[in-house]
Amino acid sequence: MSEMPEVPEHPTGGDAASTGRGTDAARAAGPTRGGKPRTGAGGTTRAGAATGTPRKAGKAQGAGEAARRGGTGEKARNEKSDKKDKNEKKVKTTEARAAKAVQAGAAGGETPGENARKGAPQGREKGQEQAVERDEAAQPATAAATRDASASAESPGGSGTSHAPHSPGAAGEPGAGQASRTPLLHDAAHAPGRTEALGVLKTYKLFIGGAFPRSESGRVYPVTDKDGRRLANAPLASRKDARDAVVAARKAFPGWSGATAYNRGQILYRIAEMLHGRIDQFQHEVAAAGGLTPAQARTQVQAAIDRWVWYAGWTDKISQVAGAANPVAGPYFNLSAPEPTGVVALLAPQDSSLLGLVSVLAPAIATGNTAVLVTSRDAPLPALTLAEVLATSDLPPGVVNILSGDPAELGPHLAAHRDVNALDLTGAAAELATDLEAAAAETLKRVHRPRGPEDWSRDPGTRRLTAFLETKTVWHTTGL
Amino acid sequence: MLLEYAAAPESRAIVDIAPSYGLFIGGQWRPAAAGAAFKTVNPASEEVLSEVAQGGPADVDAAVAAARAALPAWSGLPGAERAKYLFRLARLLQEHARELAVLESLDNGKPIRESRDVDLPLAAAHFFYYAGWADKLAYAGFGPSPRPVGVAGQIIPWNFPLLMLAWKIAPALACGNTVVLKPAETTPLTALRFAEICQEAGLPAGVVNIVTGDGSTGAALVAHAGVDKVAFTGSTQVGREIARQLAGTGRRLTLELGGKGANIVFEDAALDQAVEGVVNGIFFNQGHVCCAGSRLLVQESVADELLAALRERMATLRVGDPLDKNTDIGAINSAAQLARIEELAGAGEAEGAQRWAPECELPGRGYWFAPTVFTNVSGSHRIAREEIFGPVLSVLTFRTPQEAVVKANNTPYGLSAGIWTEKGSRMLWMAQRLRAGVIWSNTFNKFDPTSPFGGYQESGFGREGGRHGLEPYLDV
Repeated sequence: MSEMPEVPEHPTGGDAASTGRGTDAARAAGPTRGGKPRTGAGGTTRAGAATGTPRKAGKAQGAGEAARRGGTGEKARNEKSDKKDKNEKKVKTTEARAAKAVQAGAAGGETPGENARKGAPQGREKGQEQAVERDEAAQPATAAATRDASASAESPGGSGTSHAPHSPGAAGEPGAGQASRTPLLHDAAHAPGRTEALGVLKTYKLFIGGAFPRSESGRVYPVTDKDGRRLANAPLASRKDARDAVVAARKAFPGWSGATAYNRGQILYRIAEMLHGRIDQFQHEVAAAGGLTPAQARTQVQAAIDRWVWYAGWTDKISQVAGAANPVAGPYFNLSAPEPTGVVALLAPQDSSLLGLVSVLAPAIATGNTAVLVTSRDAPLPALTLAEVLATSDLPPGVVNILSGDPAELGPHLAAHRDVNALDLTGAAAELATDLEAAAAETLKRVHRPRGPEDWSRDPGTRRLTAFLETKTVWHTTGL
Repeated sequence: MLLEYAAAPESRAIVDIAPSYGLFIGGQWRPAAAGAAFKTVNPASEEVLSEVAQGGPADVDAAVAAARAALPAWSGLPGAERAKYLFRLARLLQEHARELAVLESLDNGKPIRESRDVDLPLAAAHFFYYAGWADKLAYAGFGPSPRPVGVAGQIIPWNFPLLMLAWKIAPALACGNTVVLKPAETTPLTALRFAEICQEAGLPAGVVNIVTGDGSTGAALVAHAGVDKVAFTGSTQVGREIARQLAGTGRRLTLELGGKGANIVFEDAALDQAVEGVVNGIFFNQGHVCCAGSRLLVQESVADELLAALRERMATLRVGDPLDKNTDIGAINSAAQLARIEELAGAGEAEGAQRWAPECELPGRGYWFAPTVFTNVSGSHRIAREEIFGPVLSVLTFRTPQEAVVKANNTPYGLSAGIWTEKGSRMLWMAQRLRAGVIWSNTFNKFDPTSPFGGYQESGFGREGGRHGLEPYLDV
């Protein structure tokens, strides 16, 4: 999109980082937004809206919003505009329109579709939507104030909405105008004239310390399938999210590494059990993420389940394979035993949204390490759903933390982080990997850098297990 | 002085014992070909629990044939698939753990606290551990693609029925073998319940076959030419016979036999903890433990103090209903075993040792023996040399560590030993010199599926548990 400006990394609080929050000006204008000019939409009355002028997102909207906000550099392209478009299309009958009118009346005379494109001024419906997103009761029209107050009730990283514009790979993205017209794929079944209920679409969240926060930056980016169709938004994790994730991972390390190997094995097996329970869901997500056929996706998911089982069986064996009683030439008992190194930062493979990710994550935590994992940038959704599996598997909070976003943005911070012990560069492109390896040299991190593309269907071997182990050798005299 | 506790009986309602059981062969239940059966009783009450099939040669033959038939498919499965079957079995054992624990206590006589807290968790853990090896055999140190041995004939004792079943079946299946298992005559019920669990897990027919019966059934299994490997846990006497029988046949054999473990307490040991360790060593499971610490070797300088504390502790042990959660010592497993214990205890007195047992009210019905300690024992006494396999401790003394080593090793057995000292280097020095396959230091009777277990000399050969436990079931 030509009109997509840069997004500051850390939008300030006063800025409407989240479109739902609204600007001060918007708030000052009060809940009713009737006075705000709408480009291309005709009047602010229901009637005008109801004539159903097709909304053109993008350019006109952006200009309008920029004008409203007076802020620079924020594109209020509403990622939920797709849904609003679809909503709009559904509003075909007078009856439906009337129902919407009642709803929107409180919002000050804007259509749902219009609301969707707004940055600052949010009608009541929008506020309700925001509230629903956060599983709160619907708030009255002072939605903005409510959102501000309730933002703290959410996880620390969340900023209250997922409507920050911008995506990392903006240049290559389909135009927002076209994308915004396409229903989210989840809703593909809900074509006009549908008889089923409207889908309650999942908001994808990060996974930090066992909780599901949004990015503290409030940013999201659209995730599309290989044909460019919109799947959902994913949080665009920030440096602070990475910081929080490392803190959570470090906090979880003593407990996880102190658990018995048997206990860890049981939990990894439980993850396989839980993943198996959702095999259909993951098949769907993996197919969409990777452009795979259902059969191919099924194979991948089954292989991912089997991979968890493989590593569940390693937890109480790696010591026997990688450890040793050493026959030193003296009256000493000498034992070498492997120990987990600590917090491991993992860059998941870009092109294997579940199987590759599991193949990178499981060996790291099997031995007692805790993990901060950066998903595939373009295919993060299966990873974020995997977090739900982890959260229901008795895995202690903080053992695994999952950040969706751009490895080019997050990688350098993790590579330089002084409380990260090791780094897996699988998901980094060659040049980035080299940079990260150099950055990691400062703290002498243990770096695992695969040589070339990996075939995730093959026997993984023990390399990924031993990469994040330290060998401790203890001597004890023997003698009366 | 025994504190008055209210009874805390575990309910029997959780188990559902059938009036009779057949043999589990080829995934099916069938009566013995000859139709013979025998009864299994609750040793705490002499109540008949069920009637069980007596497997004859024809049944053994059928079971071996079923195992042989199932072998190609089972060993041909990818290791990851075998692993998943074994994980299922582990998870099902966990799910049914309480039921199996109660069943075990009813059939065996051991306290519910032990079957619940030791037998069942360890049995599940063994399946869980070996499940994880099934697809990792290339990493086990036996070559890049080790093959199974084939059909394993496995004979297990009555002291830890389900746990011994797990020790046998889990590694065998993980390595791709199929099995015919003969449970002990007096404790078949948990093995039969396990067969039902195999069905619940969807285990392919013929991979596990359970043939109940007495010693003759076991003998038929050992003698069967269709068995590629025999694994036996039981008395040294029977182990000798099996070794004789297999001589020259080329069939593989592992034996886990008796013991007369020495529990060695040095003067610098933490005495209270040592007392607990000694009590655990000989009275856990009524002393029905091959690796029991049945000889206490205490350094002279602390002998009186230790023995006084030991007697005081023994007086607090509760003998009684195995299903009561307060019970420490349950019933002796059978009338035959009780007779043997009584005979040897009588020999102890006759040979001049000093016998002591706390005041103990024993129930009227059932097979019971009070915890007993003999002092003034000489190394030549029967009770110092022969395995009693009951709650009877023989106490000897020593002055120097070298003497302790000599006395501890002065046995044809070599299964276990315990060392109680605060000085690590002395413990390691002793451990290097003791001829025993399992050595516990400042603890006793600790088991883990990752930890190899087995004996020296007449305590048998081969190891169960750990990476080492794979070797007997691989063609290497």
